Amino acid sequence: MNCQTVQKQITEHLATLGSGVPPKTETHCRNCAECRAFYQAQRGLFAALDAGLQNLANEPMPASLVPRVRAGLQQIAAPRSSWTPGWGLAALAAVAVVVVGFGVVRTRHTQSDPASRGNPVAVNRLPQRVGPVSSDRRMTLVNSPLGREHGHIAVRVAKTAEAMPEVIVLAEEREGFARFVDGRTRQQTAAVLPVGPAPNDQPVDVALLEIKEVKIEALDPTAEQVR
Amino acid sequence: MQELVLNPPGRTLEQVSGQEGACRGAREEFELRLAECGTLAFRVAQGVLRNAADAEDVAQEALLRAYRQFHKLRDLGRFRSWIVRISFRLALDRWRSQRRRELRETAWSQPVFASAPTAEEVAASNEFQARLERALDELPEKLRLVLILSAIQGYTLEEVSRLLEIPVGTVKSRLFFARKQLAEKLK
Repeated sequence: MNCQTVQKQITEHLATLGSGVPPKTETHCRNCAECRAFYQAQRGLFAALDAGLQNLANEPMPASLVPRVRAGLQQIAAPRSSWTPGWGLAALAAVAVVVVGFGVVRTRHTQSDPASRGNPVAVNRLPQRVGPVSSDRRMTLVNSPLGREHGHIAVRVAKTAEAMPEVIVLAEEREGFARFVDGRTRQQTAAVLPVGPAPNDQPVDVALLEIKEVKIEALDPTAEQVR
Repeated sequence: MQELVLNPPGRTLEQVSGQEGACRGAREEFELRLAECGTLAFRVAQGVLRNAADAEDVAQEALLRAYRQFHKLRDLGRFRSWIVRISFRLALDRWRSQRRRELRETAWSQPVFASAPTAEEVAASNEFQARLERALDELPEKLRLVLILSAIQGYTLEEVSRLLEIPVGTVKSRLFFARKQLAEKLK
């Protein structure tokens, strides 16, 4: 056996995780100083290589990893309904309620002025009726430009002294709301589902909404009723 | 004040509550595997990146990605293999990105490599570790992954074979070529 062949065999044997070398190779190394030195060097190299790989591959997992993953799981698991507006939009709706109020009053005053006969769309096209529903609930309705984008219109149903709740509609939603009421009253009913996280993981609460009568009023209680 | 939505027909209460129940079951199953697979994901990433902070980020991302697709996994026995693949792939992507950035930043200078000391001195040397890591970076991906997994304590060739879903003979073969190439680069 020549030294080149032996040295190649030594490398390949050590590369296969072998601890010793074949007998012929060992015999040659006993008689050849160069190959004996090569064998010692290669053993040291592979030992260092294995030690280095062990250091690399066995670092303990950081204690913070599992809590970080759990926090990520919470975010993934938190329900986000595609039917609800973002909370930013809800805040905008709260602000818009005030705007609608002013808008309605302004429109009415314009109407009473003989010089200006603007016709609020929502007022003229609501011949139908909205029946009583659970008060203090916000209804999210469909069939509006905003609703078509998000699948709903946000309106608020507030408590009143009367049995019939109020529905406050954003200014830009008046036309959509009118179309909605026109459409829904032909069907007479619509399914409702609560959205957003239910308190204390309670089951979802489903109720039917029946629209019987719609009456448009200004937000200003001192103003006369529009209809 | 509760918020309601007027819903078009077709989406039932059962559909809503059934989805919530399925999510809870998947979450519990995943949590059972989290500690063990977290370690595996981290070590695979660490083997590629050699930076604990980066490896932790990659491991987190790998685990969250696995969770998002967990409901699609029909055979839970394959979950660890899955984690290995995701973690390795993400670690490689990050490693390549870092490397491109380093090459851009050091394009004006050439790295200086010291000559190799004797084999006896080598094992205690940080310089050898740096050379080993550079050599590891130059290995093909398949060889690199086999080398990293086989170096993890407690992982036999059979275990590596199961994780990578390849025959034991293929594992041995890849290990052989990987170690041989490393020895060539490091001598």
